[in-house]
Amino acid sequence: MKRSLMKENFRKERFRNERLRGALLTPSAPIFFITAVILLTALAASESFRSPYNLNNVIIQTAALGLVSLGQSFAILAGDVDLCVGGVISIVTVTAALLMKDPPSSIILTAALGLLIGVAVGVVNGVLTSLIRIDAMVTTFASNSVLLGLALWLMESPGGSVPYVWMKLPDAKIGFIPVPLLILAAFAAASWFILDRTAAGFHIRAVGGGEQSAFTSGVNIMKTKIAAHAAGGFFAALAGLYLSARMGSGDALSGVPFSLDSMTAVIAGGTNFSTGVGSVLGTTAAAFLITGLGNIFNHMGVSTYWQYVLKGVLLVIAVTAAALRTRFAERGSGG
Amino acid sequence: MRKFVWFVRFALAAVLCLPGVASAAEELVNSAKYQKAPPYVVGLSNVSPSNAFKVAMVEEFKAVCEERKDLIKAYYITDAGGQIAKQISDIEDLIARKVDILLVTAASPTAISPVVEKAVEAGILVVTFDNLVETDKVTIRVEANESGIGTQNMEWLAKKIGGKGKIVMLGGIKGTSSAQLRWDGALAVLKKYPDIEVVGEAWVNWAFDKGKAAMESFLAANPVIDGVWTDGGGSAQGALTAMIEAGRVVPIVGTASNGFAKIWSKLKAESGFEAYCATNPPYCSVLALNFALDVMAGKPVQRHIRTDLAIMDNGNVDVLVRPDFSDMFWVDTLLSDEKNKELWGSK
Repeated sequence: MKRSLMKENFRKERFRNERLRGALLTPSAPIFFITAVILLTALAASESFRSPYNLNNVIIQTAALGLVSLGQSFAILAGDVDLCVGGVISIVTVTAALLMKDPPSSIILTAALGLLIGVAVGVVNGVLTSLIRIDAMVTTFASNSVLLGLALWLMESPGGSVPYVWMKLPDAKIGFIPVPLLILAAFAAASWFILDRTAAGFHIRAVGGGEQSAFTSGVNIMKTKIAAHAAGGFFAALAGLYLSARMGSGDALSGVPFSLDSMTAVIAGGTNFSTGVGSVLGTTAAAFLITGLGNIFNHMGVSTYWQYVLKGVLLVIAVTAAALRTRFAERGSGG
Repeated sequence: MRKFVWFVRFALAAVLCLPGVASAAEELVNSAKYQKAPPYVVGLSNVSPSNAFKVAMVEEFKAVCEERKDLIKAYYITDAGGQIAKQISDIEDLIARKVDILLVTAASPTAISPVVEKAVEAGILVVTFDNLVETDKVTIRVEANESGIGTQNMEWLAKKIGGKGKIVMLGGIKGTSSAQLRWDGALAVLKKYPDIEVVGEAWVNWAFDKGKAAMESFLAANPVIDGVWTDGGGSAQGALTAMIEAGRVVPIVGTASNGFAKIWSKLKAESGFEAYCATNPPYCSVLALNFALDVMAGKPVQRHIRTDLAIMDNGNVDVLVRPDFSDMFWVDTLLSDEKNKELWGSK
């Protein structure tokens, strides 16, 4: 009797330790740590940084990259990469600036059209990648080029305009909560739910972890890849719509930096290429770190050149730490 | 004394290159709204440090801020790396840092407008210069004569080749307002010369390597090229280098980078080669700052100001060129010789 009780306790203890170890070993742990340390340091060091006006700024500034990075998570978790998010953003800002007019119906229809463009591009990418088996790096790079060209053709030099209410959206608040924060939180929660709690999410991760084994376990590779890329396009379009409100106009070049920045956010957030491992929360934290760093450096008066250097160094640290964590965790679970 | 040195330098630059300012419209800034006792906090939101002109522009600004501590207690420079979203964020950060004066050279003429309007609403004196923001709300607009670069360069080239022949055109960055204005200005001049045929067009980002590569392919494709129009220093230098390598040097126009001037001056001595530059001054940042300081001091200032172009031609190229400085040096400058040596001199 006593012996079995001891056994039971031992098992409980071990379980608890495993949970703890699991939390510490998650590949996203370093990004949470780094983001927290930097945020706290900036809050303590800079008066203008901690002003409510500026903290609101940080949120407004992060939302676009946050949204794109969520989409990028889907693509990378599925074992691919989405290099055309920039093109989608560009064409969506241009579309919004050209078509969106004052009546609410126009706003809703244009937004819907933008999202549809994003999803359609994602579906095409998914089909080319899975059915014709062209590497996603090539497919999405090519579609990025096509989209940028189309955007420039539609709007040679920046212009157009969006309705006033749409422009005021990023600055809006519900109660004391900024709308961009609500948007980002809602879509991050939805992404987490899909990727961590639904069959579709497990399929995406399974395909990312190894197409062959996913196939033998009965996962429909093509459907899964198309879904993952469609999600990537959807989120990029969402970011494009948000950006069109921030800019009050369209610009065919506005999306360009987002392809690389979103990949950085996903990888720094602890997601690994071709493992299907990674967390939405880590990605969101990394997006906050990347945009937040720019803001913090501006407030601390760090010169532009050092901004690039320091940002690069910090991101290398985050990515390296995430990679090491993953390797360590793999060895741990293997033994 | 310092003020005097600064004045002398200004005068010297004026004598060399004849830069100046002319107002384009009569409307005055409401100085009473902004008038305030110094010292001030000044912010400069720059689009990108990507080329020699922009680097010089920032350095000219810094030098004046350092020199005029009596007027400027702090200055912040942000840099968007050419990214629109980053520049919107940068300006929001400068508003949060409570600047009195904000100078903006924009990554996009329209996309930066909403945040610039936000700054104006926050009571900040906003000056747009160089790459302009297109909004009426901006306090002062200091406009370089961008289309003039295109037209004056093309006028000279057209006359030089006798109003007929085959030319190629190398533009700046497609989609930016300055590149487009220069390009359109050049095309407007071409309408007067029906016998000039454009046999090649390329957008080469004002860059040496791209200018050279484009020129190489145009030379290979066309047995006859009579002249080359560019709107940049690096692109003109690249194109000229390609022509020298091919042994087919023809008249070329560009802007006043030292790299272009060095080859030009050497070729001029060897073979009487002729070229031409209409160029806007990289100290446009200083001009913009001075107008803002005038408003703060309660002086009348026009809302729309157009700066004149400086001309470099065979008459003054040998005076302006600095063989001891790097290619990146911009020959039209207000900076002291020591500062220029430190920035551009060979180490």
